Amino acid sequence: MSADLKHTQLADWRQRALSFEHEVGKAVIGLDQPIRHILIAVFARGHVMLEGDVGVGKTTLLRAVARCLGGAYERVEGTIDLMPNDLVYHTYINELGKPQVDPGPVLKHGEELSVFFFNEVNRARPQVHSLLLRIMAEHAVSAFNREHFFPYLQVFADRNRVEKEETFEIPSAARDRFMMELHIETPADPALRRALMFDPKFHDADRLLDGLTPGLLPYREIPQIAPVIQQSVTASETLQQYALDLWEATRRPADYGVKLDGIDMDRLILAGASARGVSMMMRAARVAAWLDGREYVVPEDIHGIFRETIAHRVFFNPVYELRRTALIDELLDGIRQKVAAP
Amino acid sequence: MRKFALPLAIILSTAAAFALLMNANDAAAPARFESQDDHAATHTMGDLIVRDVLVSTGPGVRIDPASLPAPGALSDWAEIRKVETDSNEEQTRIRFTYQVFYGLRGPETAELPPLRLRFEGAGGAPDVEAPALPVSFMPLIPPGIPDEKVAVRPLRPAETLPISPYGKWLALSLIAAGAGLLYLLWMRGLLPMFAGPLPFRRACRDLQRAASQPSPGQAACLILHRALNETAGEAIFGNGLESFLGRHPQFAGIRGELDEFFALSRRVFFAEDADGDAYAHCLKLARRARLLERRPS
Amino acid sequence: MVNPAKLRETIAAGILILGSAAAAYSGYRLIGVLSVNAAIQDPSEASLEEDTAPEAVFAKALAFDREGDYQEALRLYHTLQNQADPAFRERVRYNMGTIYLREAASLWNARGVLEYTRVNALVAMAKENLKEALRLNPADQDARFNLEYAFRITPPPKEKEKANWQGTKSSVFSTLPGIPGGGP
Repeated sequence: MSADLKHTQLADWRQRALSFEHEVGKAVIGLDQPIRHILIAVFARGHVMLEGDVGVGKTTLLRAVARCLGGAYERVEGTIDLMPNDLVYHTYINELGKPQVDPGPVLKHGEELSVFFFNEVNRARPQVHSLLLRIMAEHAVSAFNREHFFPYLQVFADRNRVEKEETFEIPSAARDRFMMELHIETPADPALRRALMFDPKFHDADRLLDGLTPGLLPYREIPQIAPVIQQSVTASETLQQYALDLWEATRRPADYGVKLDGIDMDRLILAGASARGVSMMMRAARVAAWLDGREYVVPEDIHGIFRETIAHRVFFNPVYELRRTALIDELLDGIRQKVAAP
Repeated sequence: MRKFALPLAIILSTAAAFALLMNANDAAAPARFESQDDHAATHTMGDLIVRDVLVSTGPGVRIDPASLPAPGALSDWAEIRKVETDSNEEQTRIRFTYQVFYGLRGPETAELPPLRLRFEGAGGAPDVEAPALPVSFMPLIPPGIPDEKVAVRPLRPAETLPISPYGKWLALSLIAAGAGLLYLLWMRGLLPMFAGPLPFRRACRDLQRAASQPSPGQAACLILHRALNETAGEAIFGNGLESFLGRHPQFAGIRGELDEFFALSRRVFFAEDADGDAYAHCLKLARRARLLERRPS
Repeated sequence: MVNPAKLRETIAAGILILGSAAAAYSGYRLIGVLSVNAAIQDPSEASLEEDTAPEAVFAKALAFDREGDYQEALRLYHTLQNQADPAFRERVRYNMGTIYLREAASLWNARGVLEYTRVNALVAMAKENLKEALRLNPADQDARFNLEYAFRITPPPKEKEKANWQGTKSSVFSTLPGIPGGGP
């Protein structure tokens, strides 16, 4: 592929991406940031963990994404008695009185599965988590004596943060496989809240989604264009150094002068971001730069996805883990403020 | 005893009648001289003499102010300096302050003249007379000394004016002005010994040093970034400029230049363009910022 | 919102300006006081102008008197007798009275009643000024003393002791012009 052609192709795709963003934005309001992040995750080929209260529009958002992306959308509710096999197949007695085995939600659509939404993932048992992790990592699952591949699959999971009873916390290794962890919140803007309450458009999600243009992004081509984006967006020497500094700062914030009130900085961090984590961060930053119309990454690109890609990869000492929600924002803000580039 | 009875009766009745008469008289008189203090003290030249005259008055009787002598010369040796009256329902006290210039060679006695005071009110306007007040004097110059042996007291010397308030004022105001000046100079970093960390000031120095490097543009941007970060106390990126200017409004005047600088730095560091005239731009910006920067808190 | 740095800077500038103004004013006044004091210390050098400080004029008058020019001294004191400060006016009056008295006494002691008119005029002036001094400050012992002396030498003088009638000094009656000794 010649450089010129590549350039045109990338520009086309960028247009498509922006119109995708615009289209999804019609269905959910006040979630511009999460839509942009999901868009980045789509082109960076990363999975997304959603976290947020009940009824803030996560499902609508994902259905809108799936519709605009094209391909199949499947959704599973995490429950304590959900077993791995329930994802792969389900058995029942058919109308002829014979036992029958049908493909489960994962297999139902075959290769066409593009968005798989696992709701309340922390209610499911660890066995289910491990199956999910394999699907995420390998885009494949073994069933019926053969491997099934899902080349276009993107996994979205939702973690209920209200209830702690009868839940199974996802292990850190599993969380690390998600590229981003997004916080979905009800819009704070009173005008948007009013629209959500009183605009009849938002009362019927199905009709709302039917109104969206389907298949704006040809999902089958995304796995081809994603590496092109990664290759064509450059990260300068200075930026690489900056990213390294950020990574190092998540491991030893005290060395970079980051201080939090009343916290022993030497004991705060149990584990900083993983190598996979920062590589995902850079993948996302490149996509962000491309979406911004640039062929080089700048620190602001990283800032835009820093919290989303790093927050769930930093592990505190158990003493501080309970205060995680408050501390992690302070810590990442502190790192962003203290680490200079150039 | 009997032969005395008649004269005694006459005397007693006369006395009784007289007493009655006196009483009647007393009741009729609305104002009556009671007393004035006798001056037992011996006075000398220039003394102030206070003469209190006490007059008892009937109800509604008031002294006529016009009958009081006005301050001024009274005789060739006495002057009235002040006349004060103090009245209540039953009596009026009049206090005269005299000053006496009585020339003499030996102890003498003189009299302050009697006073006629007029009262007015119910029961007519009777005058009250205070008798003359004898005052005794003695000389200051011992009597035995002949005139030509008396030494006149010397002249008063000139007194130098007191420096007192002005000296202190001068010192205090100089200290205040000096403190204000030092504070201003310190704030602007113009005190060499306390210059401390004024980032742009140092940046200007570093930039001049960097001029000799082969490609000074990148180094210059780096120096300026560090100065900005140091001023802000955190790393400043292009999108953080507005909040930086909000916290350091003294730099608001060079907002445009700062914007340009961030665009320039982005080209130099991240797009890996040639640095071109980056050095000149940075130097200009650093110099302007140096003039604007103030010492924090 | 008031920017605190700006506020501090303004306050510091205000203190600087006010302090400088106060320093300039007190310095100016101090120089004035010192130059007046120099004139007081050494009045012979000082020249008299319209606006010469009263105390300097006073010192100049003293200097004239010390040099024997009591007429000039009295003229200068006259220019000072309407000053506002009572204590200063008292000193002026005292000095005037005392100079008049001194001249009267020396004339009297030297010439006796031969200079009756002049002595009388001088003593009258002395008494007037000393009385004024005492009116301003009744506690002035020197003024009292001098005033009493002025009364003593007022012609006709208060009767002297008999012993002095035959003394070396001429007496009123024996030297009264046109009246032969021993009366009519």
